[in-house]
Amino acid sequence: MYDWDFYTVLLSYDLFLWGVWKTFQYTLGSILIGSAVGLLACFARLSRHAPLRLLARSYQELFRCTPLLVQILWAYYALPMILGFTISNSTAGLMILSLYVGSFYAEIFRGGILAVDKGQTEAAQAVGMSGVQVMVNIVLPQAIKKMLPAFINQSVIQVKNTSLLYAISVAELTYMTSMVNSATYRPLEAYTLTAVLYFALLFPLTQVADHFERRMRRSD
Amino acid sequence: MTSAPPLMALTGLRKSFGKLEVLRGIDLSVQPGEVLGVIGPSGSGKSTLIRCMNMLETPSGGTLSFRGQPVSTRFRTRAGQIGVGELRRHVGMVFQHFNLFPHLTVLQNVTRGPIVVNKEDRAQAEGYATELLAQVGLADKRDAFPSHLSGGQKQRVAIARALAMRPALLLLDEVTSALDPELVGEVLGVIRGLADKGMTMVLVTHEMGFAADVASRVIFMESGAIAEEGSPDAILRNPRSDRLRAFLSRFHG
Repeated sequence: MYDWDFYTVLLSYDLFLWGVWKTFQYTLGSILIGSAVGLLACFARLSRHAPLRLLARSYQELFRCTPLLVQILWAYYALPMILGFTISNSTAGLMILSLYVGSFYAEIFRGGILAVDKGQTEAAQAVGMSGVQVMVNIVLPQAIKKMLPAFINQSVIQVKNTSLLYAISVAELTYMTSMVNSATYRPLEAYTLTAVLYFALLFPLTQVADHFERRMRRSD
Repeated sequence: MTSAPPLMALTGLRKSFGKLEVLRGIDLSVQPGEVLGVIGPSGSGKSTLIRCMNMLETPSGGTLSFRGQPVSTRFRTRAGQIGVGELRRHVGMVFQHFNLFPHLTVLQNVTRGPIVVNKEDRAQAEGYATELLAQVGLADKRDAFPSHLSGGQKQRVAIARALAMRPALLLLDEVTSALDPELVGEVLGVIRGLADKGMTMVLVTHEMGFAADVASRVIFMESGAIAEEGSPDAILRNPRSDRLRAFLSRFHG
C-alpha cells in the first residue's frame, strides 16, 4: 500500500502558488497580446489587398501547422542564432504563446465576422456609415456574441498550453511542480496536486463557455 | 415636370456581374416630390437599379448624379464629386428583409445613424426618433428588440430608421415582399402617408394596385432596360407592349 504524504509536498505551498500566479500571468498576457495579433490578422485576412491576405494566411498556417512545443524550443534555442543575441526564456515563451493563440483567434474572429448577415452591413452603409463605423457599431457587437464560446474554449486550451513553457524552464506551475518533486521525491502527490490546481482553474472557465453557448443557441 | 432640375439622374447606367449584364444603359431621372414605381419580372434588374442609386452596387458604366453633381466611387466627397458617404446620408433605403440591427432596441435602431453619421446629440436624435416612431404607429415599441416584433412592425421601424436621416430621397426595395399578406396593409399605409407629405421615393414593388395608386410615374423593366415608362394609368391600365400586357395579366389573374 502506497503511503500518501501530501504534507511534505504542501510544505512547498509557496512554490505552487508562485507557479499558479505565473501560469495566470502567461495565460492572461498571451491572451491579451494574442487577441491584438489575432484581430490584426483577421482584418488582414478580410482585407481587399491580396499581399496582406497572403501574409496573414502564411502566419496563421505556420503557427497552426507546427507543434507549439517545437515553436517554443525553436524560439528559445534556434532564433537567437539567427538574431545574434539571446532572448530570455520568459520573452520567448510569452511571444510564442501569443503568436500561437493569435493564429487561432484570427480564425475565430474571422468566422464570427463572416457569420454576421450581409444585410446588416448594407443597412448600416445605407445610413451613410463608413467601413469603420459599420464594423464598430453593427458588425463587431454581433460577431463577438457569435465568437465568444469558441474564444473561451481556445483560451481554456491556452491555460493548459502554458505548461509547455516547462521545456525552457519558465517558472510556471508545471515547472514549479518539478522543482517540488526534485526536492521531495514525491511525484505522485506533487503532480496530483498540480492536476487538481489546473482543474480548479479551468473548470469554472468551461462552465462559463457552456453558459454562453447555451444562451446563444436560445437567442437564435 | 421636365423643367425642374432632377434630384437624381442616371445616364447610360450599366451594371454587370461577371459576364452577366444586369443593367444595360439606364437613362432615368427622379424629380423632387415624385414617387417613381419600378415594376418588372424578377431578374429584370429592378433591385440592382435601386441598389445602384445609393451605391450599394457600384455601376460598371454610365453616370449617377445627385443634385446635379456626379457621384464618385470613393466614400468621401472630393473636388465636385459627391462621395458615397454623403450620397447615402441624403438617400435612405428600406430593404425587403428589413435588416434591423438585432442587438439594438427599436429606438437605438432609429438613432444610431443620426448619432454616428450626423454626430447629432443623443437627446436630439431620440426626440426625432420618438416622433418618427409615433408616425409609423410604434411609439410603444421604442424599447423592444427587433426579435419581438412582427414583420410589419419591423418594416415600419426600418422606415423610421431611414427617415431619421432626413433623406431627400427614399428607396424602397420590395418592402412588402417578405411580409405575411395580412401585414402588407400597415406598411403600405405608412408609405402612402409619406407620399401624401411629398416625400420623394423610388418604389420597387410587386403590388400593382399600390403602384397604380401611390406612384406618380411608373417604369416597366425588362432584361436590364426600361421597356416602358409613363403615368401609372398609361402603364398599368393601357400597356402598349405585349410583354407588359403579359406581365400585368399575371397579377390581375
